[in-house]
Amino acid sequence: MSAAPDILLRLESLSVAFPGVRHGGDGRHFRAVDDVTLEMRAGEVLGLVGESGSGKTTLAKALLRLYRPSEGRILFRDADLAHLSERALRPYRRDLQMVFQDPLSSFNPRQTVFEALSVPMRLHRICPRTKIAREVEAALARVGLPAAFCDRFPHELSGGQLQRVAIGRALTLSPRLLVADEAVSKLDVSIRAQILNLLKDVQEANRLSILFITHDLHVARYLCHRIGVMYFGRLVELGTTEEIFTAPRHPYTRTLLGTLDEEVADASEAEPPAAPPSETGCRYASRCPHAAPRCAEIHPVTELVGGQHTVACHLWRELADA
Amino acid sequence: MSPRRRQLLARLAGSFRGNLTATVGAAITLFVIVACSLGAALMPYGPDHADFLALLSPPSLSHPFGTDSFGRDVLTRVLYGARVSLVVSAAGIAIAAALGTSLGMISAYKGGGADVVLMRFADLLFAFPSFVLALFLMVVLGFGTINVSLAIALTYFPIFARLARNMTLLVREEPFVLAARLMAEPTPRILLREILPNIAAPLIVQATIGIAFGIVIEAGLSFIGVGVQPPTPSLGVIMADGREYFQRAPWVLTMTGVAISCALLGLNLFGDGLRDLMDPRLRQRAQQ
Amino acid sequence: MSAAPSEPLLEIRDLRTRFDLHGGSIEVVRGVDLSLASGEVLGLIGESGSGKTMTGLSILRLLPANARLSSAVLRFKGLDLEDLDDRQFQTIRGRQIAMIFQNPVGAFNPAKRVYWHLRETIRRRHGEHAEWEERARTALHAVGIPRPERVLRLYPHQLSGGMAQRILTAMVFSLEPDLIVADEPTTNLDNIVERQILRLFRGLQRRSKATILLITHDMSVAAMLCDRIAVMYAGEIVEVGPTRELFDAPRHPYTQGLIATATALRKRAARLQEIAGELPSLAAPPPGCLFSARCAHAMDRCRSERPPMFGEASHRTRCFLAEPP
Repeated sequence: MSAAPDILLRLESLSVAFPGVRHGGDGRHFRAVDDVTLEMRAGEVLGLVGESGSGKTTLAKALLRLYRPSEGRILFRDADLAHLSERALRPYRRDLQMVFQDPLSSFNPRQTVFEALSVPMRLHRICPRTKIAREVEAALARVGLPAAFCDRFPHELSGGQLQRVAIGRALTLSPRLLVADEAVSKLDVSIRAQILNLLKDVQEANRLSILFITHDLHVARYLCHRIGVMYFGRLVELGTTEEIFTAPRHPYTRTLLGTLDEEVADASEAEPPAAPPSETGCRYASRCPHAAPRCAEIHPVTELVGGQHTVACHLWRELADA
Repeated sequence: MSPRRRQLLARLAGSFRGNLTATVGAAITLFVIVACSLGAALMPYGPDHADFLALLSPPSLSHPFGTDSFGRDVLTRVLYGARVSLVVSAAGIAIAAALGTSLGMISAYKGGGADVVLMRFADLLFAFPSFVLALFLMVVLGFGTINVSLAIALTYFPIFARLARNMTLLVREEPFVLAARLMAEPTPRILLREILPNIAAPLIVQATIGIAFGIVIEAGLSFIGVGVQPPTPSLGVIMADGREYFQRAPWVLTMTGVAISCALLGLNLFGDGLRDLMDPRLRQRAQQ
Repeated sequence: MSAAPSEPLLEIRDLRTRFDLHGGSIEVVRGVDLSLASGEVLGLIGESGSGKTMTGLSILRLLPANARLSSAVLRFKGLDLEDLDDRQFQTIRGRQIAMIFQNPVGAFNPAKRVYWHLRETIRRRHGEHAEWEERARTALHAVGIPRPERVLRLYPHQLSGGMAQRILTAMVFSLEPDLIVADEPTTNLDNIVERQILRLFRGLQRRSKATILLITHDMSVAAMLCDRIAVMYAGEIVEVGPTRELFDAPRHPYTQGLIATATALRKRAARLQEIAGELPSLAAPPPGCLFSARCAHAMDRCRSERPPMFGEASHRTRCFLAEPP
């Protein structure tokens, strides 16, 4: 299945369409994720960057089979998870976990921290019943929280503390892949540092792969080894952090990076269109200052720039020389 | 004391302090329940004790609600009757709640064809005015006390089904339910432990209001003779008796009506108060 | 009646806000002093639980029912706000003092189209018979909406977050208020849109010389817009000074920590600097400095004595480290 031995997960031409929402024109269903091919390696942090509406969260949920992909394959551990039944998926669930954006709503308000942590332990028989209390305390310690938190309810904890518990809960099953969906966006800036450091430590200690979804490029740069940029459901650029930041090739990536610099002019930054752009052609064409007639008609193919760097743009060579 | 119990007691104590409606409603309801369970036993007369020397006598010290055409003490009969009415109604609502909630939750969680079928069936039941439906069911099932409960259950079940379904649709998308799915938590467990506790509040409110509704239905059915059958006293049965002699002895019908009104007032106030308690409290706490 | 030119537009001294709960009361704003000069942009920086939003709501009288407010001085344009009853205050709020909140779409009446909102605002400022259509179009142009005709006919739920915030900005600035209180106006927006809105604010403020109290937890937002910055922690102001000075030489350890974290990401540090620990309990605050438990430089004195403000009038900090010898 996989060429390189350390590839953990491979998405092939993954698409997620939502019934009932159609494109103007050709009447096809709206694809929140469109033909995305991506690999994740063991022990790496892959960032997925884009604005809201880019499909990054939908991609993550489809990967975890919280949504059913309409097309494509999810290759993991010698199986294609894309179209398995819930029961067939069960053995794989342990390996794929998620930390959500809003820590408070990711916990059952009626359950204590102890219950939230012990449920997965009991379901998956991580340890004998008698040892559960000790395991829960260990899980809390692993994320820097005291055992006293066991009896607290979610609303009694701060956002940062809850997010730690969320990470602890995800780790109880010793997953191979952790999806962090805007995991620090709702936290205060000084708490963000704590959680990011925690993720880094945990990742290095367990050789965990993390799919880190964010709209904040600074955070992506700090944590990620590779970064993928998504726009309206398509993966427009992918490369190592170094490649993306020093030599971005796609106009959208450049715009995103341009926002890091205070002095950027307003020229190309119109609002993201309220309605999804047309199916044919590059989806960024309507906003792109360099758009050629070709761009609106033909969908750009993903090409290799060099090293691990790929981009989906008709004009990347011309723009690179500019 | 376990943390859960601590939390529950704290919430209970805090809630009643601020909310007059719930407190008054609870007090009245409690009074009614205590009155008909204990009071009936404490009364010197039995419900069938006939005093032929005091037929249709007006309210007095020895007979606070007067007597009926058989010389039976109306207050005693009302207390016994209220107990019957309450039990019949509560049983019916309990069945409606259990059935409606489970079907509503399952249909919302699974979605698809089952959901559509259930909702259209609920719509069908909704289309009939409740009393007419209940009456029809009594004709089909046959008269009698147990069937009244069943009729109430079937009439009220779509309300629980729809409520449970709508709440489940909301909660289903919450991150903590997604997290449970990611843990491969089995679906029955998710429904029971993750979803149900978080939709219970409006269902409980609905149940208190439902019991009030059930009392009215039972009274109506028994009044026209298709519900609880005499000699078993129920509020409707007593009212049917009282109607015959209304000109001569208005107190029978009137006092029974007052008793029903009290019970309904208590239950509805309690339900309203509960509703006020449940929702804004969550928001207020979030603010703090 | 307007203030004399040397008098601050908004002056607050010893503002205290507490919540009365079943168990007791919690003081969430503990003696805040602020003053805004006309035409100035003051940033109020703090994290969740710092009391910054409560301060804003206290000024605007938008507190919940169980909140109690007190202040030695609460003056707007020379007028004592505490002397006004609710009806009198209503005429000031929404006309002379305008607000922009975090959730832009929620600020609209969902049953009314955009043009209705603009019309109401313009009429409030310029009278019932104002030429509102022309002004509305100009206002929308000014916030970067080139073809306003389409937008005017939309309903609020059809607006994206960024678009809604632009329209709100247009409404607020067209009101020409004396004071604008903005509470986390860009927090819910994506980075690209956030930068656009911030640049918009800056441009509009420079042109109209509006006075803005900007409440935010994001240091970089404050750096972009504010002339002066006040940092809040656990209900108190811990440092206040000109933006440039604050960033170049922060005096309070908390400010230093905030700036370090905000810039660490930019500097691609190998490891992000943390401010360890959590906010103290406001229900049972510790004796001494409220930040002492988390402070790397805490001395014994800090844990037992509450520090007052030290420093010059323009740049002060609530820390014993800044005490002159």
